[in-house]
Amino acid sequence: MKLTKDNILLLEKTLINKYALIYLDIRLEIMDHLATELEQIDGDFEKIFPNFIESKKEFINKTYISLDRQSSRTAAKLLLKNIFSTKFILCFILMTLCISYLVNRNGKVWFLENFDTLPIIITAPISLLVLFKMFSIKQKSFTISFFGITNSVFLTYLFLVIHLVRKADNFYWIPIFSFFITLSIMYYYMYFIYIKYNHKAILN
Amino acid sequence: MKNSQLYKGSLNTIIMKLLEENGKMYGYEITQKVKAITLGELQITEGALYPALHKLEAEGLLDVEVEKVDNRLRKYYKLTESGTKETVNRLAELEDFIRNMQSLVNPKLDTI
Repeated sequence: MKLTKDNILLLEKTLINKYALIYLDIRLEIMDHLATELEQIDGDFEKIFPNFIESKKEFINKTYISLDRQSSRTAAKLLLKNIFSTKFILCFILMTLCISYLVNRNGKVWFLENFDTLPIIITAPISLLVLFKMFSIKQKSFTISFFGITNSVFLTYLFLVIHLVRKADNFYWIPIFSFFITLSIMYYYMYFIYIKYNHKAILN
Repeated sequence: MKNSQLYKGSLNTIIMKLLEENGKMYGYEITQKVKAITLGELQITEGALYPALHKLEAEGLLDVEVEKVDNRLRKYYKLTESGTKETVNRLAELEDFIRNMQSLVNPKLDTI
């Protein structure tokens, strides 16, 4: 049987409402697989569909969980790859030198009074954009995983590292702070360059 | 896939070999192709296939193309340049493995 546009819409609606397949990148792959399988069966779609989708319960759930985990692993690897990239390391060195200069000139107290929350402020617009996207029907597992992991790093800064940076007496805090500020700047690069243009999993 | 660690360990190589021969393929097509080639003896379960495809994509061995087919989007997989090179390596490795296993399991055949 050939599936109509309405049949496909019903399949997609069922996957979202019944199986909570909220991520577009995973849903479209499972949807195409099920639709292709359905097309091999002869008969009336309305009659076949309920039993067919019930029989695929295990496949849908297992595949969804596996692909979601895979997205998280890929996202974590991508973040690490970016952190250990030449671009990041050069930015980090440059940032450390700039901050050291400013601290030498104006003092640690002046610097931290004005800039200690800067890594969070810089990343706030993208974090809000990702938060907004989480409520969209086109949200993708990979994107959510990637920004979830990156935001966790910044939350660690906000709730833990910032206190260490404020308390540290010597210059150890400068590279730590530089790391987070570099990451917050790279966050934009990763979002606009990598996620938008290079990750092809369907995407935008 | 057939419930055997031997087959499971070769899943990625099987996928890459099929893509090398057929250019670009989508998930369902891969499962059907394996079933047809092995006359139904070997069946790749979808639950194993899609995570494997995504892993190979993440490793940069596969590239994806999304096309609109029959009112829906379909994700096609194809080998990247490094994927093509890796396929050659993995097939050679698999052939070595089969040859060695053959020698161990059935040494008489080797002497003929």
